[in-house]
Amino acid sequence: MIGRGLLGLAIAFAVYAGIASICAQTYDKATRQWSVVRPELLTSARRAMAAVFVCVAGASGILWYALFSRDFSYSYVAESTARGTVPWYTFSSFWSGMQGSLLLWALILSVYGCVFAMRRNKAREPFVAWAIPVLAGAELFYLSLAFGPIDPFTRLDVVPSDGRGLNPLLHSPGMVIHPPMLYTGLIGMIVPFALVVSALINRRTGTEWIRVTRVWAMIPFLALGIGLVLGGAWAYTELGWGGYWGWDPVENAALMPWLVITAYLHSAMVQERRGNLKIWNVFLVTLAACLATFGAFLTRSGLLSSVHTFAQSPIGKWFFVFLAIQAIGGVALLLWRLPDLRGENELGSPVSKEAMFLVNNLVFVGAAAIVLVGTILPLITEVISGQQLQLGPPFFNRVLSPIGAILLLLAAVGTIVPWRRGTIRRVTTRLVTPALVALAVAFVMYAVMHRLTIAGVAYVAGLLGATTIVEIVRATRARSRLANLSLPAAGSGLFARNPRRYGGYVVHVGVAIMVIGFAGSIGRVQTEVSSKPGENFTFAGTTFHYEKLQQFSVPDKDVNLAVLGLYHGSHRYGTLRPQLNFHRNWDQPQSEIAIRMTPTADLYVILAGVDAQTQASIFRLHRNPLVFWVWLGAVLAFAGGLFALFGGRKRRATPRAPEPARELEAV
Amino acid sequence: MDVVVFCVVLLALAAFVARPLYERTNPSRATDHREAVAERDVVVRALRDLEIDRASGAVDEATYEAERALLEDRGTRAVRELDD
Repeated sequence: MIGRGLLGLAIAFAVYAGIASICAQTYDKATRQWSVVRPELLTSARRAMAAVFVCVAGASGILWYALFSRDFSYSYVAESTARGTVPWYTFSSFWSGMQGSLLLWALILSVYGCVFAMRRNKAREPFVAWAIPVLAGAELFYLSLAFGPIDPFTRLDVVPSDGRGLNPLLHSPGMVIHPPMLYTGLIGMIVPFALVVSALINRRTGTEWIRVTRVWAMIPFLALGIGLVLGGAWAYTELGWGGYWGWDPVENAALMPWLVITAYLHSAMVQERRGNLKIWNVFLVTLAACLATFGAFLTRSGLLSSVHTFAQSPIGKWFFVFLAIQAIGGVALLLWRLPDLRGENELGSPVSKEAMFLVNNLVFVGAAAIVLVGTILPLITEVISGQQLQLGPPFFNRVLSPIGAILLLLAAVGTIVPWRRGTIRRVTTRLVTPALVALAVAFVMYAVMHRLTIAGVAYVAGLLGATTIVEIVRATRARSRLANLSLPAAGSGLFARNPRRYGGYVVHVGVAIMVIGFAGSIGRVQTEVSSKPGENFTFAGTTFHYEKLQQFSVPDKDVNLAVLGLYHGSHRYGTLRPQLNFHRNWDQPQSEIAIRMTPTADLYVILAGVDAQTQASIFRLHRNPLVFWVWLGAVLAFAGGLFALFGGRKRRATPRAPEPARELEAV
Repeated sequence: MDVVVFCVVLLALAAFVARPLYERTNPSRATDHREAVAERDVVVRALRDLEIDRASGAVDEATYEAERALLEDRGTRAVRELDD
């Protein structure tokens, strides 16, 4: 009862925040901008956003309490958890179903809204008054769903003695962190969108806007990126098909806004530096927000089948309406303010950083468009012909691999090309050393993997990595000479003085390493064997000795655990323990995969079947090359992203009034 | 019990939200220099980068001069606006 009451209260505060924030302002005809004439009303609206967070957090706390206390009088608790569910999975069962996941969306959005409204920041101030109504409006939408058709606090007439428990596929440490990160990324796109709306209404689309929006775009960019990688890790370790990315519609729905916001983070630099691409930047932020909502619509409408989707529900149409308001409103505002968004300078030479960023943007958006078409094609073909035409992974891999290679080449050249105008001769000269390093990387990959395709991919990725590292070394040497510093001091100073640029370079190196890992999937091999305890079988140069099969029961499942010794000749170098479990409440088997990870390849073993009488077991064996580098590159890329966002924060970014002239002179 | 807790939360939050309405606040009359500050920071960072790019051989002399002049002009405008 109190949970629903708090949701209702949150709705009331969200409505108040939006209205109060608008009423606090008046339009000044002289400056043609909105100014806050009733600051006390705006402060009250800000506090209302904090109150929304308190109410949603309270409602969420009540649901968590019900889950942990096994209060099966709640329908959602009975569906998502059971008495034997371990605490971590009880915690994550909060978002294992439609109702809880929507409440989590509302909770994350309320955190964004509260932080945005309450944390005072000089640069952000002019945008707050118009951003609050947008954030409050979005919050209102999600809360209305949780309060109305998708109520997580529905009670059962007959209380069961135990719950059904979490779906076995969701029994993974990844489940604890992957969905919240993904949601943080997807819902976070609404904040840059709110800033766009505010900037357009208030005619503040200059450097100040781009600077504030960039920070709020970096947060969902990083969160969504981490969410996607964690999703890949979860698929790899839990789903048992040997891969980490299946071009599933819901994976694609999360990838599209990430591609678009990545494009924005690059084009924002062009606007900041040269005053161009304003229209494009507004469009990209709006598109990213719409695609994020579209992702939620796909997951929750039941239109497409996927391992991620919830059951068919009545809220698909509401998401569609929300998406339409977002898209039509965003485009209408853009058209309304078009005259204010003209570029300030010529775009410059085709051999320039800004030209590279523009092409990179077109390619990123093109990639997102291809993913979109490939994802919704089944819906389109069903409407036209009555039959769904599915485009599987081969289509996406074939079309997007060359696009990925183009992006890597653009990033490599873009690192070298200067702003404004470069010469082909200078660029070519500066590419010689990285090209030789990349060639060495390609040779090493060929020697290890014996595949020309992998060597080719390694060359392109190596070129990006080498170009970036060589540029960092060159800049360190230059700074060392200019400021008469030691090389370590010059290098660390370089990163500290411009964390955005050099944090971005670290992201590029991480991406290059990830791509080398992706290339390994070309050399993937797999087989299936049947074996009994005591027998040996050989796969990918390793002899597997099937030592024993352990069979036992735990409260919610019956476990079959196979123990496999790994041998090179007579040398034992490891043990793998794949499991096949039968979850009684779900009446379905589920494999716990055993993986031995090394930098060259993973041995990946799935126990696919067991004959209870003879103990004959079916094993699916995969050798997945270079997967280690995917995770290593991801860690590096996210470290770079975090540094770009938070690095150098201790330094005073905006000195007081008398200092700028002196600083400018000093430079 | 639920009703009591709910009423306490409602009253506490309503007081928290309504309190600013009973405090006297005047609209800020300070000159809005935020755009100029943002411009100045961008120019300072861009000039630093340009010096490094020149010293490392990434830009030729003509591009360096042209870009520096453009940035200095932009920086001067921002600083003038801050000084006003």
